[in-house]
Amino acid sequence: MTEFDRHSSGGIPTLDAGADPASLGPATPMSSGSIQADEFALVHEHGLELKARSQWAYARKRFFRHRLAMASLIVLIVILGAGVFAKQVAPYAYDQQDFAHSGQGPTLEGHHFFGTDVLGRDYFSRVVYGIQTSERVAFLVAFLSTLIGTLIGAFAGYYGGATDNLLMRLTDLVLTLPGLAVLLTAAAFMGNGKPTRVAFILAFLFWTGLARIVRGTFLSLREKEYVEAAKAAGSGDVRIMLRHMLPNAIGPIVVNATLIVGVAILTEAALSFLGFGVQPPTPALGSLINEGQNVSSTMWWLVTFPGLTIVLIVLCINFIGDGLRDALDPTQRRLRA
Amino acid sequence: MPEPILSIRDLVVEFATEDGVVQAVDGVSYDLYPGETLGIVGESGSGKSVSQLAILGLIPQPPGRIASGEAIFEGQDLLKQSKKTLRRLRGDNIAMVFQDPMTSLNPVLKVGDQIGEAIRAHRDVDRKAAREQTIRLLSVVGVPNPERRFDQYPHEFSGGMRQRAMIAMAIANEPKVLIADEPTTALDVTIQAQILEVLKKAQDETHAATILITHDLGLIAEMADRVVVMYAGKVVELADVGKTFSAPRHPYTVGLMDSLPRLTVDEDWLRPIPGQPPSLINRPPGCPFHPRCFLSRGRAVCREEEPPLRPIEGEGHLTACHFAEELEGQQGKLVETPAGAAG
Repeated sequence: MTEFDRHSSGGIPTLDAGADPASLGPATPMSSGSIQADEFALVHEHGLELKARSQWAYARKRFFRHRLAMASLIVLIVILGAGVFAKQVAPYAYDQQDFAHSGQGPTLEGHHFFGTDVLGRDYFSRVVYGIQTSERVAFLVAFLSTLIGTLIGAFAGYYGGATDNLLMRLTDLVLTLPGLAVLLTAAAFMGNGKPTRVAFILAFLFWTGLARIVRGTFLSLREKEYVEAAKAAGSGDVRIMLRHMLPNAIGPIVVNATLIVGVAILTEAALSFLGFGVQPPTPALGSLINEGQNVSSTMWWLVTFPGLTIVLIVLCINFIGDGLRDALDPTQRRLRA
Repeated sequence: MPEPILSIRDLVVEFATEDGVVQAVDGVSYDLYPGETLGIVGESGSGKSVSQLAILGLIPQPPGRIASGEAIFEGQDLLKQSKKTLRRLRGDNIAMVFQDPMTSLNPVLKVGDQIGEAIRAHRDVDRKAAREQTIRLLSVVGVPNPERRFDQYPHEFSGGMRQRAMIAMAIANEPKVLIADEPTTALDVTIQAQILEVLKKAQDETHAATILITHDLGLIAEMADRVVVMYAGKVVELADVGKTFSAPRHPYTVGLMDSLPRLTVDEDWLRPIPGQPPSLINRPPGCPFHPRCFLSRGRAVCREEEPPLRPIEGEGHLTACHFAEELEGQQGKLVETPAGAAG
């Protein structure tokens, strides 16, 4: 064993001054690769300044030029920002009752932008707090399910064989579970209420899609020559997975995570609407619609505004997902015109 | 002869395919001595690369399987080592340069970091030290402006520069054995010459014994000290590079030499070896080359008996042909040209 642990003291061979690289001829960039890359190389060789852009710089640039995604991002930041700073944004507390102004339609008077409900609670404030609850759940779901999905997909795709089989059958098992039934049962069993509990239930169901995507990506990345080269250089499995493969799979992962946020908001709304999600008095977007539906014929604003908010959030997230997918594709070097 | 640094004996590598088991490498044996360059030639699918990947433990198993054989490196059989031991060996004692530099570098990592990773996988050095070593390596392999190049991504490198970077990665830990798998095949001709210079320099710096896998006979003539000729997963001839070119003693090698166009003679036709290499599934009995051989001429022993690799004409020249002696004294143009093509 020890004979293999040769740690030479010499380190790296040095260049005897002046011998090379001149004798190796001029560095003529000729290759079958992209013309653009060679132009960069040429410019460098002649000493002209040209700022090299990193992969992230390219991605950023592409994303910022995606108009729909940028517009969606701004709208989403406004909506989610309102949720984060609910205390500052909302003119009232979410449970503050004012019977003098109950059942009022949308008006600027008294800042009841979205009207009030039968108890006289300001619906704008309740929606803003509802956004806060929903986004907390959604981000926790996205984080957890991305973590689980990436881990399982990465191990399955990298090791293949029996590991792959085991993990993918597990994934199939979770996929075959009827979502809503499991959600309702789990919500009933685990006890209702807390947003984090709802998030855990959702995350348990949502990681499967990403696991499959990551597995597929890792399966194809595993055959790449640079992975073989990294193995030949003596890199370990974990290092290869983290340093070589994960960055190449980051596009689908990020896109999927953003889409999960959208789906999680929708599903959480559905759960809350059915009364199995976040429990009153904590407002969530779904439970707000639920509360409003009994009187929706007379007080249309009680269902419309939380509903619109949900639609807007999910739309924005989907557009951003599209933009990210285009931007993060490392094989796409061209900037969007 | 000194002790060989790497000694391969009876290596058999099989792949399970849908059509049956393919014996990609079938009983290969040879030695690599310190400081020498051993060329391995053969056409596509003759098992050149697979035999090297096998000793590094880089054959995917399954479908691959090392059926038998041993590869003795510094007194230990590489084929019996644990995955962990092999991983520590790879890139440290035995390093590899791959064929296609366009795909062998990870597009999302800086070139310098990838080379540095090869150092940090084996040496306990911090990022800064690894960076300094990498920059020195880049200048050794003739990458101009190495400090700036360190922070660039592969797409900002040309093909030749990438191959230099790959060589830098391979010699990062001063390997004792350097395996170059068709290092110039993916490059165009002007760059090939430069890369050869870099390879030679890398050898001089590290004193690594080199295995050069190629199907380019010009490259063999330029670089190799001894030549292993492989055909259908077997070694058919092993000789000094001079003997290989001037006095080949296997009809396949003769055919290879004949297929080279000569600049000094006005030739209208290339002289290819007729026929196709045999299927590696259901390998026919006898000599694998006999259906294409000009010496065999339907002789029964060629069809029935597999010729062993045996010494011929003094030390260090081995051939696997029943009738190798008939080649003595003959030279060139032994392969029949297509009808009407002569002249």
